[in-house]
Amino acid sequence: MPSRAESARRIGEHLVRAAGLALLAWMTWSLLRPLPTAQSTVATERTLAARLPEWTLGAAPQRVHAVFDTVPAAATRDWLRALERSGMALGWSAPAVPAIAVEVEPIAEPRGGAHVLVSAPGNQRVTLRDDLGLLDSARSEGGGVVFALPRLEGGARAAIGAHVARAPLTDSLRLGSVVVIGRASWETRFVAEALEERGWRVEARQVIAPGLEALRGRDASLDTSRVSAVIAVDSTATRDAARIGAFVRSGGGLVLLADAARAPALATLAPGRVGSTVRPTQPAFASDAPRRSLVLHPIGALRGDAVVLERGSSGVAAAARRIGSGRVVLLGYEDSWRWRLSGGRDAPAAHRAWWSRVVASVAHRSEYPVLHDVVGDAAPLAALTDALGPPSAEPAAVSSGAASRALPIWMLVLVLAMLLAEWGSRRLRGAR
Amino acid sequence: MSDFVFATVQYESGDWDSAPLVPANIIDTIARYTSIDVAPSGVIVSLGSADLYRYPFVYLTGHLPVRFTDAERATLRTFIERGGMLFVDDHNHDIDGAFHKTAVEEIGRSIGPLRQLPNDHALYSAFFVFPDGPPTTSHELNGWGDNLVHSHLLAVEREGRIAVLYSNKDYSSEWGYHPDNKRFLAVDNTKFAVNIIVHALTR
Repeated sequence: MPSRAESARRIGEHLVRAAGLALLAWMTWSLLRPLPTAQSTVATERTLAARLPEWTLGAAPQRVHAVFDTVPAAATRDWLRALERSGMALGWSAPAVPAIAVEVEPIAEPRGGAHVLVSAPGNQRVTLRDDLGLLDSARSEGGGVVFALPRLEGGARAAIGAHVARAPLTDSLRLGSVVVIGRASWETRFVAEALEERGWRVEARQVIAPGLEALRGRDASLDTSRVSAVIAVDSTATRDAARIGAFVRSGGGLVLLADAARAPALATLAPGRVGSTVRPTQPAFASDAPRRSLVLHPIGALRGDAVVLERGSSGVAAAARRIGSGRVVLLGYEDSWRWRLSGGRDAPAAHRAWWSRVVASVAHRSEYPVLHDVVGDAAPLAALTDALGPPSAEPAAVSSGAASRALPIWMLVLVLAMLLAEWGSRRLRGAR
Repeated sequence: MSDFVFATVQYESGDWDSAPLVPANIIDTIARYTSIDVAPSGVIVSLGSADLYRYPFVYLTGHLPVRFTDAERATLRTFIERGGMLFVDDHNHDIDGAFHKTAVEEIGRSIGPLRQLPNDHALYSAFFVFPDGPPTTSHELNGWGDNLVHSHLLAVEREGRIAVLYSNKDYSSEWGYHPDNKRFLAVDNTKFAVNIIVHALTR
């Protein structure tokens, strides 16, 4: 009859053997079981390159949250979207990526060029490049920054640090001639001359006597296939009021000077009504505000669809409106030629540039598509949002990714020790 | 809109005011034949002053030698570069005379060399038609001075426009009378002035 001690020893041996075998069985199962799916997998741009094929060919995680330092390429975005549509829940965030967007518009002047409009967060240094290199840089204010370029080679690349938006120049413009109508006067002459010097084709009709005009260029019909804009300098343009109105409604541009806008037949086209003469308080032409030294007829009684373009010291100096497919600008300044002749060193060039801009703002233009090979997003963050939906917050608790199959070595040592202890105890007892 | 103002240039040397009746006569002619808004009185403007830029067309004449100051040259140069037009008439009417030689030299130094203006230039059909070029003056025909009729005017042209128009045909004498006396003339001999002004305004 075994003693009590021997019975307890035998029970202990059974318990140790059972525990060791159970631990061994658990270890075996751990090595062979399928990996559990992570609650949410975080991937960065660096890991995505390897993980995307893995998720595509194997088991994709239930949820993935991607964290981007820069906006991924379109191919990566499309791949993620495809995985999302196949059942993988996808979230993303890009905390360091600024919302930058770029658009390129051709300048409607004979010298060409382009305006590059960059939307960017305020107070950011925006650099602009084209295919030939760095063009300019500026600090964004408000909603962004606008660059005016005499020439753009290929596409525009606007960047804030490493974040780049790309856009091509997609249109080239064909401009027609400008018809200047007025009596023989210095304003008619110098407006025509300024525009010619800026490369515009100018046709001028200047009344020199009743029934007699001095013509420069052809005196043909006002139609948008040939003429981009008309400048009505004074009331002598009233004779053509009906033709001018039809021209504007079909898409042509019209610049009205104050004297012309007083004529009833042309006043119906104007954005407002010109007031009485206001003499300048500043006789000398300052280079930063030269038009303040011009006589002004402030524009009042603005129509509901009028837009104020420029304010002088005594009221609205320029206003615009749309009529049909065309645009009309009304200028309250008188004798702008005085700025050209009496202004500072840069006055002639500034006078030319201003007149060219005024005409460009209304000129009818024909657009032709330009072939380009620019690759990239004009609004990268918007493209990412469009592809993957709005960003989401990074999940608080995430798994580290793949579950580990590695077992600690001490566990194996423990199993061996337990089994050895049981065997040793049995042998010492004399049992097999 | 401002009127056309007939401006006579006052310069330091010489007798710039030798033809005081010309402005009123030309103003009358412009008003008579055209619809140009012309100021009823002319002005006198100093060649060396910034006031010159207020009058894009200026008239210069005299009998005596012309010698511009540095300020006058600089002002004139800027005036021309910005689109102004200078009409110079030799009131002395002789080729080798003091005014002609010195005026041509000063214009050459300030603006550029004077060249003959072709007699089929647009100037001669800008309003009235002068098929033979510049009309002759009675002072050319009466044998006074060099006894020659000058067949051409001279000009400095800039980008297709006349910047300086130079005459040694003595229009200053031809036009130097009270406008009321036009009624005594069979042909108004100031018509060519209309062409000059209209050309200046319309190029």
